[in-house]
Amino acid sequence: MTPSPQPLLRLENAEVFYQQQRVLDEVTLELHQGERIALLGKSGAGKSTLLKLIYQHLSNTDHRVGWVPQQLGLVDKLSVFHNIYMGRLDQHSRSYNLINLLWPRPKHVEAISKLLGSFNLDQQLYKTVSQLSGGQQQRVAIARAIYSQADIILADEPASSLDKTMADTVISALLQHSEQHSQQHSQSCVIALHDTQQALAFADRIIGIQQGKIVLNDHPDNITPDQLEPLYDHD
Amino acid sequence: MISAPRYHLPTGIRSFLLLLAAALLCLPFADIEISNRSPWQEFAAMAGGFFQPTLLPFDELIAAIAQTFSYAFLAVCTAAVGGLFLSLFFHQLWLRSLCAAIRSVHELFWGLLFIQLIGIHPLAGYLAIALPYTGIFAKVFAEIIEEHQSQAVAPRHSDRFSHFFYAQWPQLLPHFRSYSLYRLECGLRSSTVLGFIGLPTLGFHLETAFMQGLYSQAAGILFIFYIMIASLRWWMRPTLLPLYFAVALFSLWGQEGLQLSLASHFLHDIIPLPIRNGEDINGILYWLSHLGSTEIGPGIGNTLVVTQIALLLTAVIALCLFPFSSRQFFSLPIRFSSHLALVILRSTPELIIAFALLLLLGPSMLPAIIALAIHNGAIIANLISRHSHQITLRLDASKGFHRYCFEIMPRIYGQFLAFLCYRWEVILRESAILGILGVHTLGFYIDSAFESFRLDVAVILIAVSALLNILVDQGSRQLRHRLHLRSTPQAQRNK
Repeated sequence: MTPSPQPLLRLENAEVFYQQQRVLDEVTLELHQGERIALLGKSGAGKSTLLKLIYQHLSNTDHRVGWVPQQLGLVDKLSVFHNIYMGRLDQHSRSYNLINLLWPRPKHVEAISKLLGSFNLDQQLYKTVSQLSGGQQQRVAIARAIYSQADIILADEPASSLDKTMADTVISALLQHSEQHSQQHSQSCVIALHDTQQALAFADRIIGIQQGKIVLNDHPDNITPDQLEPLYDHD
Repeated sequence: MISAPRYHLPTGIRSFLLLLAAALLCLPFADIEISNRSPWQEFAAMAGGFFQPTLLPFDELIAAIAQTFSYAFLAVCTAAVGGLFLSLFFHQLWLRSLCAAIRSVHELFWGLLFIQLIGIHPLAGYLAIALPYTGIFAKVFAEIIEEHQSQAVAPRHSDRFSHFFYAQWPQLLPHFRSYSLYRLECGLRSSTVLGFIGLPTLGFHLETAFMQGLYSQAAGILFIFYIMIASLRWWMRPTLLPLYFAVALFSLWGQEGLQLSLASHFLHDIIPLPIRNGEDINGILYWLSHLGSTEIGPGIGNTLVVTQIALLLTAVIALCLFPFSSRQFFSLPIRFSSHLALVILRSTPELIIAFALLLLLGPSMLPAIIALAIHNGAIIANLISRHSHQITLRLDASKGFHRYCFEIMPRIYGQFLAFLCYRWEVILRESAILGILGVHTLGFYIDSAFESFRLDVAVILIAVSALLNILVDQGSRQLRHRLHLRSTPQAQRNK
């Protein structure tokens, strides 16, 4: 899908400090609707901070943001159904949501079951999140972001605790849903990843971060392995 | 069409519905009429008094503070030492049962018993607190020891005491100290309410002031009480313990009123009347069945009615109030005001709240129910708001009502139910006690029996009350077990 010329977000020379230490350094970045961006960089490079910065900027606009944090942020004691349903709380009234919390409505049950089917989780619908494995929880967190019908999904290493096969399945499912959604809304995705092959396979653009600076920002076709290597070099 | 698994209402919600059903079932049997025709007029007089507090004459005030402190301090000190000793043998069934029995009788009932036994003397007040508190200390200390058992590094072949003092004591001491401080706060409350049965503590002057409509004076006494409780952590220092011990002993020493001659009458009068009269088994059974139908039955029924309705109201108050003290919902000024209100409500003994409400609303179960719900609701609200501070929310977490229902409630609900279960037994004990204010719970019949010198009946009713407590405690324990709720000294400490 061709990105629209109108940027969804523009950051210019953005800086972020944490405990008097610069964690993002003069970041200049444009995000366009419909783009799929992979953020690459080793742990502590600033990927999560950049995602949070993007989230903070977008949450002040009319855009709906689907957020998949690294710690997942699921409610352990709540069912899988309700955790996913939380992605759309703001689309219904308080009383409607309260009733749905106590007694799930069939139309949401059907929609969420269908979504969970693509993650092999449809039989876990009413299990509490604490009853699931780490990998299953990760898939629920992604399903929640997808269900939120967001204009943009921001995911912080969403496949980190999955094996290679499951990670590919999950990323594909995320993209497939994003694609389906994009036919109507031009959904964008910004995903922080560890796996460069995965990034090259799905992204329209790769952004490489090193010590808080963007050192790479290009289409995967234009990127050579030599350019990717320093991003995961160990000090 | 995808076939989804079947939905079942979560167990936690089902138990709450059960609580609701029990309260609704009790409602037709509850006397909750407002009999005072001008409650607002009375309320205005009370509120006026609270805005213009006055103090008791200096010497009376100092004496009342000294008595309140001395009963509590001496009782808690000895109970802590006794409880610690007993906790080392708490694995023995007979000891566990004995401790359960002595702590299931409320301090006020112990007070009424000891006053009959030795007269209105400081020793009665001291024993009334020390005895049940020893049972409580033994249980809680045993739980703390058990919790830290696995962490202790023990020298091989060391005996039980050496092992305890060398390997465990250093780890346990901060927990014991913290719990003892909390118990001292409870002791000050208990000591104050002992004034309602004639011992000259702050509660005695409070009751007198309320009865005479001296609301400014009542407010002054209450404020002194709040200051004592609120400043406890500043003035209760380990280095000052010997000084406090000396002061407490000095203030109670040499007081008149010890009537050891009462003991022989007491021991005679507690023998059931038909046995004293030499009646046969039929006479005893008739006496018991009459007692059952006129006092035990109605007493238990009314106690349970008050307990169940108060328990539901406690839950509702706690769930409504806690967000105001939680940093997940409100900013500092609102949180601070709410926290202050909760501390005041939880520091005020139920008996005092009920007494004030009784003057306001007139005699019925309503003052007792509201007092129990306010006091216990404030305690639980305070605890779960603190619990909610440990929750880290995601960046896109919802706000307001949705945050309450979807983010916070599911995470704190288990702990909330655990606290509610713990308070169930406490509310039952207090429901019985509030009878001495005229509500027809077990305490009413016990107090009436003491007033008409039917000590045999009083003792039987106290035993029934204790048994009911043990049963509810067991029920609450099983419920917590079934719901997989946390059951550790940390939560128990808040009893």
